[in-house]
Amino acid sequence: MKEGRILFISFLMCIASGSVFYWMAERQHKKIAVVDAVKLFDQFNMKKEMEAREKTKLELLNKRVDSITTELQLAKASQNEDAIKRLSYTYNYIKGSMENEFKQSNRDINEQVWKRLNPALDEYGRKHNLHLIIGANGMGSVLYNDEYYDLTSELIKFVNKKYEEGN
Amino acid sequence: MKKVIRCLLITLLSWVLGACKSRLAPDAYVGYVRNTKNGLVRNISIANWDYSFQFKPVDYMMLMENKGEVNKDSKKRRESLKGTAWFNISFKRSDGTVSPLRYDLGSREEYDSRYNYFLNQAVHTIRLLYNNTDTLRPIAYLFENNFNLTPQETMIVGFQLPKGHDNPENDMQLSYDDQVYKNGIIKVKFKSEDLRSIPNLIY
Repeated sequence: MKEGRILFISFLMCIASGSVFYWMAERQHKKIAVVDAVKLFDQFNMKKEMEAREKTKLELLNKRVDSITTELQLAKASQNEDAIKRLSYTYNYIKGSMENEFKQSNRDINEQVWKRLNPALDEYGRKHNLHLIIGANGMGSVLYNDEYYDLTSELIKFVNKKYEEGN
Repeated sequence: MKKVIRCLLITLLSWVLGACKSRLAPDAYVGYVRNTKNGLVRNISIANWDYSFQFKPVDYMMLMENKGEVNKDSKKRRESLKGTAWFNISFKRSDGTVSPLRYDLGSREEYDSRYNYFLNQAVHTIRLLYNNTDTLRPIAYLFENNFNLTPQETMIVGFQLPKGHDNPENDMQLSYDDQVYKNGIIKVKFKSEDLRSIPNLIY
């Protein structure tokens, strides 16, 4: 009877330790990660700083557009045809410049941020023995993933530390 | 009680030993500052561009100005540089085949405008965050003219430290915004422990 109990307890312990080992091995062999690319991009410090820099430039242009708009409204109110023509031309020109500047700065920020993020992602993948990092961007490429595979916040921490310390 | 005294003595001894800086002769001192292992040079590669950020302690600057020797004016020069922090920011193509100023040029005007940018504008894109609190702007800047003899360009930049800091001994984060080669903002950190363990120069 006693022997049977010991045998039963040993059997239970074997199952428990087996499960723990299996769980640890499973964790160690995690080779796939999913990252929310939009979140990673938005929360990268360099992107935030570059956006702030560009914002000042664009705000300056916007102020010029505002002042021309006011002048144009005044000219329209006083029905000054010459001034309306001149100011309309200036307004269109500055508005166009502003839109171009906005598009260009967006392109530049995108290009420069990904230039920095891509090698950082490579490095992270290599360091953590990942075989695949899938970028979820809300466009349907990843329909579902559980939190276990989601490394977005870890990666945000990693890329920002790398950026701030220059490692 | 004995154990407590022993522990205190060991702590005190290690603190004293830690506080005592080693002393180096001029050649060894220069070697120490240039050694990447000592945390005073930081190298970063971005998309086929190599950037190097060298922190230059006052003694190192003084040695470089005197061809690696100490002379009678050295101490005076050292005094005049007190309270400042100096850096060299160098950049080159990773393959080293072409001077950065000449890289991917469309015309002579483009070269002139790029050269002019580094002479007069690049300084506005450099900042130093000292002790994680003070953002410092350069007080001195020089773009070294190497007459295209080397495929590397160097900017020399100096900052005035906040009052009460004769030597930089707190964390420093140098940032440079590369708007010419579109590599974004590049930051490097010089850690306080590396700055505090710079040896003394033997005069």
